Amino acid sequence: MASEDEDFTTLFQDFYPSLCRFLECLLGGRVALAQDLAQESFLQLHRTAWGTLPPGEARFWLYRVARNFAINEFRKGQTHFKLFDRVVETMRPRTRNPEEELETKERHQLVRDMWQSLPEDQRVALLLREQEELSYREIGTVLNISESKVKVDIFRARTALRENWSKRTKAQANRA
Amino acid sequence: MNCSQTEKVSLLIDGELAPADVSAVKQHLQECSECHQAHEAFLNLRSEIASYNSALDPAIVNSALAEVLSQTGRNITQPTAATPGWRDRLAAALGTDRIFNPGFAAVAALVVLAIAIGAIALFRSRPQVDVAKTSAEPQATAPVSSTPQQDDQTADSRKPKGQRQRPQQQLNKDSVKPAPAQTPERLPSQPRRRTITPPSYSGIDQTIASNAAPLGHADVEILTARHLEQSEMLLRTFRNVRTARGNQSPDVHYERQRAQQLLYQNMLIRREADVSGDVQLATLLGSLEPILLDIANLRSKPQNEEVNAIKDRVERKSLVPLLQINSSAVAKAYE
Repeated sequence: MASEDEDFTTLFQDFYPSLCRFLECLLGGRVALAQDLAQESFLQLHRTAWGTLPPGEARFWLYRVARNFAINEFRKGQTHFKLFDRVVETMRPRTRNPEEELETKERHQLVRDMWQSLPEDQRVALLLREQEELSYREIGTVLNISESKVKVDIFRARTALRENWSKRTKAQANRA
Repeated sequence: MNCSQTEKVSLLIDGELAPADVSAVKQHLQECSECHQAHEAFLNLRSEIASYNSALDPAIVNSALAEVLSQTGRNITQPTAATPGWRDRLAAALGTDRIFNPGFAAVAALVVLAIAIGAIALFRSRPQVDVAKTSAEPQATAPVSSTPQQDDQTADSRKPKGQRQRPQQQLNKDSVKPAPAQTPERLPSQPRRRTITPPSYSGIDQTIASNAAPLGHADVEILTARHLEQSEMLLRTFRNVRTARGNQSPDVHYERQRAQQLLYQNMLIRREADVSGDVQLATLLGSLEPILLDIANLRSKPQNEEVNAIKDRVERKSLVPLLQINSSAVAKAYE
């Protein structure tokens, strides 16, 4: 039991931050909700599947469950924005390097906006690839789809984002 | 985007291309400007997406882990797990610990402590009122001599029987008839037990702690009546302290202890009376206070003269009858 708990602790410390980031991107930058759902995912893992999963599978299980949680949140309503997130956003300090802070924020906002333009399955597949560096086979395991669909989804996501990016860049250049 | 090889570019940067195709696609990249641009664009996108990295404080991770484990019945101690999750999260999300500096934490802790103490005081004092009100009826018809002096008997037990019973007998003269006319001493048994500290009393702080809670609420009147009666009892007992013969000293051990207890109670009630504008009660308690103080400060083996001087002052001020009258008046007012 102690060993199981230690393994769980290690897994949590290794992947909780990644899961938070993954969910944050999926949810359009809602930090607090992402952390709640990541925690809930680990709780589900511990309660239901921990000890029964093959070694190394827990990570994929987590992404799958987390994604389902995120989808549930979408269904609850896209416009719902937690007060906590607003408070965090309002109180976020910008004193250390305001210019850099602003630039990072804008870039993050741009990435998030572009994400929102993608279909959900493409978005998840590309996130798992670019952020979590999962292989196509692993992504297929997480999303319960074939590798060929992963391949297509990722390519389409990249193409769409590239077009979106170039449009935005052109629009910015015209404004300037 | 018409080149059919562009999808392979995507596979190339992901390392998912078959090894046999890699060199061919790399060669194609040098020849096809469209695929070359796509390659660069995909890599730029990758860096943009990968750069989306919200820093997560390790404290948040540990806090979340502790919460998960606690909900699953596990209890693995984490070094920083004691910090509440939302606080960590907010602090990390803000990227600073400025709003959670030690000063802020200290003020917050004080506020929480004050609220907690207030809540405890309220919680502790509320049942007493209920007990007093609900127990008033049955107590009223109960035999008079059964309960009221039980607490004092333990403290009084070392005294000669005649001395011990005198105050009780005097008290019982007025209280032969049942109830409403009786003093609140006979109404609530629970508060009395709390207020009168047993002979194991060991310090001032304990007295304050045991007496402070009842004052915080609406049963001040009960406490006041009880205090007046207790003080009256003490003064009667003190009046009966036997003068020692020869080199011996009068035994005032019990009286000193009781005076210490009642002194702080007296101060608190007097302040209450001052605040509420009850001049008569405040004056009475004000004249009682130095007497209690002197008794409490008696040496362990006092001289007869010291004891007699206090007795004389008690008599001159007519404190015993005044206390008796006022305790009855307060009790009637309460009823």
